[in-house]
Amino acid sequence: MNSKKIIIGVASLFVVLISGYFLFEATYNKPHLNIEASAPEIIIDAAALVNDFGLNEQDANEKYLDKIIQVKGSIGNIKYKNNKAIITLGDGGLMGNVVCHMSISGSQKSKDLTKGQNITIKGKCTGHLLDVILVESTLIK
Amino acid sequence: MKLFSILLLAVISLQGLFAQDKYFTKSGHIDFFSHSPLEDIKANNEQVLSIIDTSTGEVAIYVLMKSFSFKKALMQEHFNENYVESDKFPKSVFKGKMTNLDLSKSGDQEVAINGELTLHGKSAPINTTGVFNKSDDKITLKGDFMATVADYGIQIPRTVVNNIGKEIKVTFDLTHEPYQN
Repeated sequence: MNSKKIIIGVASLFVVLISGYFLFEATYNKPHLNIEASAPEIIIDAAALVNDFGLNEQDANEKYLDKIIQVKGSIGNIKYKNNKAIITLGDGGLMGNVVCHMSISGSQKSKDLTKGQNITIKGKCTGHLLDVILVESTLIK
Repeated sequence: MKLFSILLLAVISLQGLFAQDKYFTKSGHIDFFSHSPLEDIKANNEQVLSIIDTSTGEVAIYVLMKSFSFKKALMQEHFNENYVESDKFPKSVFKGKMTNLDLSKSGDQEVAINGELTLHGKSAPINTTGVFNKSDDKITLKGDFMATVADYGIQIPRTVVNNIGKEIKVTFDLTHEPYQN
């Protein structure tokens, strides 16, 4: 009788520990959202996205912040920082562009792009300073 | 936020007149580091907008809170949702002045930077030093300062109060290009 109790006790302790571990992994160590593998939540032209932020930034923030956005536009310029590409969609002027900070894999795919080309990029919107900013972006076509 | 854009536009539009004095970057780097006995927390932001006016020594730095990237997704969530409330306060701004800037000096020079940091809707003074370096085609400004969490009305729940430092070390590394119209 006693040994049965002990076995049940040890077994339930194991169950608690294992489920605890998985719960911990699922919350504390949960991975970042894989943007490359996720479907876009919003599909829009670069100019329309910029325009929305220009009209009412607060409304645009509610609509676009943290969303995965697929955006189409022509390349204003491409810069590199720490081997990562920063692709500007728009005229490449001081403001009013969509600036796409590419992921490492997105940067590799972007190697052969040139200014003026029309492309589609998917990334996460973090907001608007002089331009609308997308991070962890990847090249769609 | 409208007001912010108008102010920003006003700052920028002055550049037409004094273009040779203005330097800017849209891809500056800022990170912050919080040390506590239980946990070290670090986050990077590579999308920093910084504008320097060498004629007045003024520096304006604009940061999107959502652009801070953490190693752990959960930390990033807590940071945005519970601490800085980035849906309500999406931007942080530092406005300050380099007081002892000497443009005739070449190479690295230490500059005093005094200004105000606005974060989470609250402002507090920041006084620090940085290393300024001007060459023909760029200006770099590097340095760090300590920011006190309590100054910005950021509430840390009791359950995690030991996981987050009371002071956060903010490091900046900004490489500016001349503004060309």
